[in-house]
Amino acid sequence: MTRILEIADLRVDLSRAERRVSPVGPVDLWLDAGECLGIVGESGSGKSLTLKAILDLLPDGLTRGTGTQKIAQGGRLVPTDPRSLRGAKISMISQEPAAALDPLMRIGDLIGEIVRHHSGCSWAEARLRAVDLLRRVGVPDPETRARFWPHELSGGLKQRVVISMALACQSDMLLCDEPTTALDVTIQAQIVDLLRDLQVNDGLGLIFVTHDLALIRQIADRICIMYAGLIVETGPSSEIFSNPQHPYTRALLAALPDIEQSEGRLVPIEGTPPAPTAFPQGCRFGPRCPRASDVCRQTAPALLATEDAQDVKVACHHTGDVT
Amino acid sequence: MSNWLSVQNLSVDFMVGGGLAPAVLRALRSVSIDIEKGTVFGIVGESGCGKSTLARVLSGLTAPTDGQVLLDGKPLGMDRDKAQRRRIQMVFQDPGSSLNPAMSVCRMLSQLLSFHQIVPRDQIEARCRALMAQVNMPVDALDKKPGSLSGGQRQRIAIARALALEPEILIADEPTAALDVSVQASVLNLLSDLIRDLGMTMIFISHDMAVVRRVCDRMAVMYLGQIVETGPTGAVFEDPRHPYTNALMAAVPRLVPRAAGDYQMLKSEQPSPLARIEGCTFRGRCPKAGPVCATLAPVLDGGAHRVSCHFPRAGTNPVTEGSSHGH
Ligand SMILES: Nc1ncnc2c1ncn2[C@@H]1O[C@H](COP(=O)(O)OP(=O)(O)OP(=O)(O)O)[C@@H](O)[C@H]1O
Ligand SMILES: Nc1ncnc2c1ncn2[C@@H]1O[C@H](COP(=O)(O)OP(=O)(O)OP(=O)(O)O)[C@@H](O)[C@H]1O
Ligand SMILES: [Mg+2]
Ligand SMILES: [Mg+2]
Repeated sequence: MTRILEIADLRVDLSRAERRVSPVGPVDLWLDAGECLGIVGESGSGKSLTLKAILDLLPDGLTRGTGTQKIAQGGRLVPTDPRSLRGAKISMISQEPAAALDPLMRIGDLIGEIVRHHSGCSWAEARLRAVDLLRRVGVPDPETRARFWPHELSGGLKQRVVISMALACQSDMLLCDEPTTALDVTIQAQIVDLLRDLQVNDGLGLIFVTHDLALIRQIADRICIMYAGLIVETGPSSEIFSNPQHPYTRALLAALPDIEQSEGRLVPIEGTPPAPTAFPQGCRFGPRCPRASDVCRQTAPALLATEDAQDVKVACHHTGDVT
Repeated sequence: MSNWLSVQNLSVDFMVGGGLAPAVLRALRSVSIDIEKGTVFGIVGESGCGKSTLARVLSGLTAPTDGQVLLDGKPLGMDRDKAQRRRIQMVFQDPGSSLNPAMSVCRMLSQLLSFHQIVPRDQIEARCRALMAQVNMPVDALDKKPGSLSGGQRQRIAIARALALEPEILIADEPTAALDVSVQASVLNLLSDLIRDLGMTMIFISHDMAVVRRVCDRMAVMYLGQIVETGPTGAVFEDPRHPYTNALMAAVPRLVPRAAGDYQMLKSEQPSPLARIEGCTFRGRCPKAGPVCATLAPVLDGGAHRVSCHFPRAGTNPVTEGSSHGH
């Protein structure tokens, strides 16, 4: 497999803080062509900021810390300025589709403009391709829909428009932030098939953030579990699901509602995740962890390969302890 | 008091396209629902089938083209007074755009609490803190503006805002879509407590079938502006009658993959709400459609568990016996 993205020590810092406060990082990430990397983690753990940092699209008040980011170019990995990647090499489907749509443009023109920007074709051609993209993401009657304004669309239609805008860029990598939350399961399956098709046939690399664990299991080759801005466990999707190591990963799987069950209260993980300004010393999951001991309160665990599975890495002092 | 909140033959048409080629989009086509006080009514269905439109009509934000909403026997129109507005609160599907970006969470909540006189002035701050705890947010989020919160944090603020007014009816449009499973679990537990302890009634719109099964007492499955199946949640899940309901259940991704061949994806495209369709609106995608489906629209029929289909899947429970065939 050819590596297309390699990031070391990715960090997001608050710009205006007396001491360094980093909602994200340091985090290492990489991606191969045609691969899907899933990112899972509690709300507020830094998933969206990580994706935004890759393209340096961070909101006001946040800056990307140092670290290196390399992109495949002509068969070699070369350091590249994140801003130059937007659209060209990497495109993004953001978490809140409504915010990504210009309310003053009809959706056909929104997509057409992107098509034109990336291919330099004529307006007439761009419109046709926009309609075709809408059809591919399952929008019914796309010719008519192309003339709709964003406010005339349902939540799921907006989300599909945003997906077609990202596909219009024809980039090598797609960063997807909860791209299917507003879709029903049948259309979600259709979109997942479309993405998989692009993965297999065009070598599209995907980074996929979602709270839907069953979905991530279906599509991701590799998974990163994030907690409080750090990766706490990573490895092949099958390993993580069949043999979760980190106490946080285990708790997450236990909180999942099961469609076969209608009774009983759900089991949330006790406590709340810390705010970036109040990350605890030592292990950040420590205060909520059933296995926390003195060492957990003093030193932060490093992300290390486990003994029984070399491609799984876990950041926990108690990995391998008998449970 | 079986129909405390009652939706009767509700239809909503939108004029769309504008300019040269205006067209009528039929977002809701004669929808009727009865909801008991203190229960949760779930609505599921294809993206774009009219769920949010129904929610907006109930909240008084969209005017129906036809039909009406009754609360406790009295019509509930578009112009509602302050007390009526407070009784029915909505959590919007898109939490980002429903929050004022210029206002801190604390200011937004305090304003609401004092405007509707929910608590005495000197208790406002304490109430704001309590609300944060209820939705599992750290108190320091009160000082933040929506822009510096994560997607799931914004969604919880939207839930806190709706709950601040202690509504009798909560209309929740995908309220947990942006939440991870752990936070989702605590929010769902909170909502069921409010229903049990305060008799709150909830309309719960969701794409997450596992959550619907947990939370809802009764539910409706919508397709292209209509209800195609409705009944007690357990009955609909264990004994889905409509072919669309079956397809929906089959497409749910599972942690433990099912046997091959179990997965029946809907074949052709979703139909357009702009088209006029004779007969059954689902027939173009239905594996069972026969000649009658092209000419005669099926009606929602049956007892407690009703389905709108000429060839419903044979039931395993005799729930719909009594009125087996329409006219
Ligand atoms: N503009 C900002 N300024 C300051 N802090 C921010 C800003 N945006 C996000 N944060 C904080 O950074 C942390 C990570 O946010 P992020 O949006 O990456 O979370 P997330 O993992 O995507 O969560 P969710 O699943 O809820 O979308 C959160 O604690 C959030 O409050
Ligand atoms: N203001 C509007 N003007 C014109 N058309 C509209 C308007 N609001 C909604 N529609 C259309 O009405 C139909 C139903 O939309 P609605 O938002 O109710 O769907 P939904 O069931 O909530 O879908 P989703 O699951 O995607 O959120 C859609 O085809 C939508 O495009
Ligand atoms: Mg996010
Ligand atoms: Mg909706």
